[in-house]
Amino acid sequence: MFVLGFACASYADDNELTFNEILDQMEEAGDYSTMQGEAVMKIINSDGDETVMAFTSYEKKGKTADDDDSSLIRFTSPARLKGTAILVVGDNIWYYNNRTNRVRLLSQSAKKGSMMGSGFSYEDLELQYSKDFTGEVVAVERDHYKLKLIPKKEKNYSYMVIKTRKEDFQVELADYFNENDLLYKKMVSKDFTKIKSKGKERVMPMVIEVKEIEDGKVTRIEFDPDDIKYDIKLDDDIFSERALRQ
Amino acid sequence: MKKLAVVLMLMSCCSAASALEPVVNLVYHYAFSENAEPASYGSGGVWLRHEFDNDILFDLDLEFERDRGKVNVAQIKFMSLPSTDLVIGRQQVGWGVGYAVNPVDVINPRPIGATFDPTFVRDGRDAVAVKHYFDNLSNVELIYAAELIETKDYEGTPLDLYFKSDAGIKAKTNFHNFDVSASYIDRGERTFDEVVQPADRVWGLEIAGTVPVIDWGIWNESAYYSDAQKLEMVLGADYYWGDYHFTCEYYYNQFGSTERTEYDFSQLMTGRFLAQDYLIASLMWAYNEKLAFTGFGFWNMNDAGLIGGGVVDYSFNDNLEFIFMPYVLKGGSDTEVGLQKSVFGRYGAEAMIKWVF
Repeated sequence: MFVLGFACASYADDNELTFNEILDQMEEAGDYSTMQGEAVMKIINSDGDETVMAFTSYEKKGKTADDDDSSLIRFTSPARLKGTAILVVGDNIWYYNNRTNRVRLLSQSAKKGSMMGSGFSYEDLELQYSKDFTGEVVAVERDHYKLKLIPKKEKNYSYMVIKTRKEDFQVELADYFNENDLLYKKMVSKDFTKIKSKGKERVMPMVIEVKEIEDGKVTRIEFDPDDIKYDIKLDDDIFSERALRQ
Repeated sequence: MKKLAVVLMLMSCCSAASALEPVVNLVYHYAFSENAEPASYGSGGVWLRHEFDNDILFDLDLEFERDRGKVNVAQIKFMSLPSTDLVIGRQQVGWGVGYAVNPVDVINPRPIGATFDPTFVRDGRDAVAVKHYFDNLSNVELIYAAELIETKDYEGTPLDLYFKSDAGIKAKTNFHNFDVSASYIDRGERTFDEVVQPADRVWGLEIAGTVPVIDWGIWNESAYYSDAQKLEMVLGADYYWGDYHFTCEYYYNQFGSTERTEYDFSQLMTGRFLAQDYLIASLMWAYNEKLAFTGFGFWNMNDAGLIGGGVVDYSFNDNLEFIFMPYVLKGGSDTEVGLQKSVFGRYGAEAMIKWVF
């Protein structure tokens, strides 16, 4: 704490951004309109057993802050999950089971639950910092801002403490705390890479890792920079029941 | 040897058609119960898919069990028309928002308990289906399903051939975060051995969504048979918290009776329930990403019979899965579950090893 306090004293000055300005910058750093990517999700439990899933994901941000974001995730492996797909539009989640050809709207309580047994929940898929959080600047370090983010709507966690990079406002670390102020989940972003797409260059983490403190389970999502595209044209009907069933 | 031949044939098909990226599953089953002799057998299947120019999808799903093979899916899906899909061939038709019971799933119904069986794959129906999408969450579907059915007696001797056909239309939309569907099905006559279910007109309604603030999922699925003037209805609710998922359904079946003395046991062959009121509940606990436990109960509220069961599903790795499904049957000889109990006894279980690649 002393070191942290020293760092605050050392690097805070009148030119530092306010909490809301930082949130705006973070929002802008992730301000792509669409995203398409291939990813591999590895779940490693405390015994070292590994479960590997691969999926293609599509994402489209709402045109305004009040519009819903949409995402579609289609699993491509392992074989037992191939064809399974999940559509998230705003607060709604539709799950497609290709073995019964049935689409089911899940209850919104599912949003707080684990996504396919991973350390990520469905609500982790869409974070709109300015819209979803209040909070404060906890510390200003040489290269990072440290923020406390309190969700406006009830979520799995009571609050998050995040570290965002000053150079590009990418979130490097997020600690999730429960209502008892206990750290229960830790997210780390790594391998920040410049991705060129549609003439723009964006810095994005190629690895996002979540560690669940209680059982030591680690979930790692790895993106291939060659398979990520931003701001491409994605038709609205990709985020539809029609696409879910394909 | 016959089983092995089928497996090898499937494997060779897959190799030859490797461009189709087949998904193959092989399952070893071992079942036992209090009264029946233990039995083991093999089953499996292969699913092939090929996409032509993003506009045409071909799906083939073959399944074998013991020495018998069947085609679950053999369909071509045309997607080149604007906002419209046309599917021709044997296809799975999955209607209904209910969790364990689906009254509206008339055209291609699932058997009771399929929800809790991780190896279940729906049989297909030979059909032509057109689905037009008005927007991302609104659509209308037209389907015509027809087939020639060979009826057999309980020893498997062919009795007769009959033509079974169904036609249906279903409109679906999302209204204030609730999925709402209305449907009409012209349901053809069904013949099961010597039991005949007459043709009927079925009016369906499905509503599913979430109760605001408390976040419980709720649904209603109703099917009204206008010729028989009978209603089947499911009211359900579910909730996810942490690694748990709880579901509860009340099923009202006007085809059934509240008095066990009025049960028509021959209806069991048709997949219909005998009683009028049921409560079905389940609790799933995902211990971790590899191991999940499910407990469920089908309670006949009219004769107090109960089928209780569980599923232990362990994924050893990405390809190998171990499944254990114990069950208990509780009820007198004159209850709905009594017939099953006379065959299987008070308890039983099925263990499976499933290999998917």
